[in-house]
Amino acid sequence: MVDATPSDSLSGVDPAAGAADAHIRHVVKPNDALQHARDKAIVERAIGGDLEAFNEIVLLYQDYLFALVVRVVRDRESAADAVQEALFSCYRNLDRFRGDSFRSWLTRIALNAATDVLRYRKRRPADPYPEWEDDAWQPPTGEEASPERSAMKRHTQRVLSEALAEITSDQRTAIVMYDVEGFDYQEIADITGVSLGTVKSRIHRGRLALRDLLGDSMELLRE
Amino acid sequence: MAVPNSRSLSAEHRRHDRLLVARFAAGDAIGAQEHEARDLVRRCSECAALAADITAISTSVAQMPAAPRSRDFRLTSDQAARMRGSRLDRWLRTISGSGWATVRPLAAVALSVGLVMSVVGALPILGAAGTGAPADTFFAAIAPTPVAPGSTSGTRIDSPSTGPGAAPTPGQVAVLPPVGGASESTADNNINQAYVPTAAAVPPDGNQINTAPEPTSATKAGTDNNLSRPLPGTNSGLRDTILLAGILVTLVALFVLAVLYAARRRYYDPLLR
Repeated sequence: MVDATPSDSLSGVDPAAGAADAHIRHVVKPNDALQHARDKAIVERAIGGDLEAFNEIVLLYQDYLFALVVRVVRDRESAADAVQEALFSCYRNLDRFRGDSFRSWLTRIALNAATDVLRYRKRRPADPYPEWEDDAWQPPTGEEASPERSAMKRHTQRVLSEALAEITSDQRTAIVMYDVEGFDYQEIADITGVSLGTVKSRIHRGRLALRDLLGDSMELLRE
Repeated sequence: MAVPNSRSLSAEHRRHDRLLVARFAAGDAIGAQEHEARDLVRRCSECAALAADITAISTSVAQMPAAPRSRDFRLTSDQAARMRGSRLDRWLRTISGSGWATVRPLAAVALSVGLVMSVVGALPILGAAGTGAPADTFFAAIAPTPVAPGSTSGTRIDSPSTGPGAAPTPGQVAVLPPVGGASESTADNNINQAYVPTAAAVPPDGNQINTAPEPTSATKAGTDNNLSRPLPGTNSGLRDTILLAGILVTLVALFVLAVLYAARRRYYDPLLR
């Protein structure tokens, strides 16, 4: 397992540089006491008015937040706006942070911002649903990967992305948080404000729905 | 492994619990559910395929590439200054948060207490009329009034207007006023009896009469007797104190509630819900 905690992105404010390791971050669950202690120390400095300290927080979490939110709202521009709003809200209310995990708190704010985006879209049905834009970027592949294999992988990911876009936002959020971001059931329940059983139900029903939506394309995933 | 699609599912498989298989595939089925799911997967090829697909979906979703962010979200100093606001802004933002949630019910309780204290202080419960008249006046108003001796017309003799000469002398009886019907007469009779230390005398003509309280020297001098004095501990000073405290508590509670409401209206952040 690659150790790719958010601190790895401290030196990578450039989107292109951050993208290279973004695709492997999902396999990491950076939830430990050391991370909490580090976050708390930075937050304390930020509460004291140190803008650089807050920007350290931004550097630590902006890739993670954007990757999470863009999967929920399925539109890069809306996701960027939601993340920006979430970070503004975080900055304004830093002194209200209570508890152990700053990452969970920040995730909750970002997911609320993402939910607001989805609600806004629902209220404005005239706006067409944005296309899933993950096709625009693919993770770097090794030289040993054949063009056919790369094309197959891209196709598989597009099919899966489209299926993810079809399930409910609650199910999608739960699946992304569990499978991609590595939160456990209880953390997801705490962040989304629902019961443990509801989280499990959303994840299992969402996977069943994905399987039904994928239909014959499931063959691509079975390899 | 031959995997049937949904169109070729057997009738038997349609009766199987797909959610149970999904839970089993994720490792969330325990105890009897796990045994049941394991049995389903062993006996039914479609359930086995479903479990394998659930695992494949979970793995594939986890391997999906993360989209790179499109901008740098770090704050500039201008943005930071705008976000932070003035010291008052920060304070109001703080009190609009959940950390101050207990203050609101406390202020509501204080408002209730303050209102009750104000009412208690303003009303004559503690011994004075609501008009703010002194307690002595109030008790004087409800005290029985002596009637002119020998009078049958029922004219009341008010204490302030009665001089020492008009007060009934010891041994004389006061005739109740006949006006107002029997009920009023009975009520007055009851009141008077409450103040009469001795049994009522019945005159030879059978009229209902009461004996007036035996005038004391103080009554003769035109001053109040013991009956028109306030109860112990109910002086106007205490009443005024309660009234003022009640008003003060009410105003403070109202102010706190108003500030909390305004702060919440202005600075509530829906993203922190």
